[in-house]
Amino acid sequence: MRRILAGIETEYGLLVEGRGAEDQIDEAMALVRSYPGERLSTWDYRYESPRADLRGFQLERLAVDPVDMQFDEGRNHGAPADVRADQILPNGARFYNDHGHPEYATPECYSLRELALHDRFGEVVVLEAARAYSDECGRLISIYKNNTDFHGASYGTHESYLVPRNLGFEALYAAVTPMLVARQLLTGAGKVGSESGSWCDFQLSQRADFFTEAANAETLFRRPVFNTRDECHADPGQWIRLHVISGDANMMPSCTIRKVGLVKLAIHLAETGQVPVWKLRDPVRAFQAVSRDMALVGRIDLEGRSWTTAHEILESYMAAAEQTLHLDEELCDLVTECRGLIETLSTGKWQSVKDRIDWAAKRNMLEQYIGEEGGTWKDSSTRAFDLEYHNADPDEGLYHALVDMEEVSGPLSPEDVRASAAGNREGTRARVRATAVTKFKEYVHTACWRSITFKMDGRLVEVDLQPDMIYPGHLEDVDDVGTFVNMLGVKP
Amino acid sequence: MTDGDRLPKPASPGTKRLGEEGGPSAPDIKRPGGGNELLKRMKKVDPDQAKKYRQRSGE
Repeated sequence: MRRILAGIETEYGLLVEGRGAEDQIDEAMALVRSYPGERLSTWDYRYESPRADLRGFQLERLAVDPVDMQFDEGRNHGAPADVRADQILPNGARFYNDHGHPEYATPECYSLRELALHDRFGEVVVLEAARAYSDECGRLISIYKNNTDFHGASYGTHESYLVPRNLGFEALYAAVTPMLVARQLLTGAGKVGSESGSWCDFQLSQRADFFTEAANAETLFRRPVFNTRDECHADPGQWIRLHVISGDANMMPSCTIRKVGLVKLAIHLAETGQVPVWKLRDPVRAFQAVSRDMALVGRIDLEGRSWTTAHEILESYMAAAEQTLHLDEELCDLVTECRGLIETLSTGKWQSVKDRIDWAAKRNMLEQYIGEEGGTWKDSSTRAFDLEYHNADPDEGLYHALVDMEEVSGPLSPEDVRASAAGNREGTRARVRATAVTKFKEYVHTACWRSITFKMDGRLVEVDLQPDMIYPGHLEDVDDVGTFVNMLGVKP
Repeated sequence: MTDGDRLPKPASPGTKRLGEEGGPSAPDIKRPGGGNELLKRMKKVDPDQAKKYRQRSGE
């Protein structure tokens, strides 16, 4: 079975004492630049195509949030590349300012656990940058790994999956959309209240309130359940990058692993033609219905007059995967774990999974507090607790308190997280980027996901990075840039 | 917190607390400061923190 390359990009919430959302672009830019660790300040934008749509057309322009437009009136933040403040880190990750949010994009990974480690390392990076910037500017800074400000603004945690182009939009949409709707039951980060439609005390997903269409290429406004942006970061004749924007930022590494693993299962099933057929009548309404169903048994309307549940959808993918795929160890473990979680949740005993699913941990924490200390779901303090669950500071965050109290299953140790920063253990193309940054920084003219351009002997040499190649570890031992480039298949 | 537990309230005078019957118990080094770290942090949270928290829309 083909191994699927994947990555996660997380936009972090940023609160700087005495500064508002109108200052956020300037603050995020300065914060990223303050990162004290090793990095290379560059990014190659030539291959970016955010307006291209998988369905074969280009958007004239991307929608923008009208509230954000008001923030920018009369302001000039500088040239776009300066505003982005791009940094490439020694593990091949990208760290930059995206629309006023410090964003950490993991290096590409095959293994789910490696990806979770790099995702967790992103919290360390953003926090270190925040501390350095706080020392510089003299203001307190809080960093949140979440997806909403509770006032109607959302920011994303996106996943990327390398998919063969010949699979096509229709097959991918049909396979992945039901999974995106259903997986929030096992992966949602949980949210107090609602930011669209009627009030609810609590819901599974941070993002559900912000989807308005089933499929489109937008990400800032008119967001879809299934994003059709066609920006593959590889040879476009061969590859698609499936860009998933409907997932939550997870604090629990086990949720991160599950979130990505479940989409990988859907892709594998699509590639083998064995995917269960679920024709949702309205993916947006279905996503929101699952998110708000605190009884965890809500129905999802299908085309025609039938209906199903998130449990049934998930179980159908597990069964199809077990029957038709040769699963590797990680995906076998994933199926076993998900089956156990689905079984427990189907009995209504959601408290039993509070050590493994973010929404359950958060809901349990809040219900206990309200029950013991008083208050209601509508209190401002209840939303403050929700926000502080996502505080990235291990000494302040409520999620991190649960870790300290050993209430979280499978947290990643600080040693493992630090080790993930030391290069690339899997040999994905991120290994080449990581090595270039750590050993040949002075020769790198620019770089991006799909290539590195070296400056050598007065000329520029661009090296393509192959997304399906395993790059050998001995590349890291090379001390001469000419040899390094030569080993990558280009004669200097 | 564990299943069925609630955030601990201050013990009333004369009430035995978990661990007291077996004599003094060793401090739990996994729980910084001892006691319920989660409740301690929740008590420190500014109740208006989410009200003040305004962000730009992201992707």
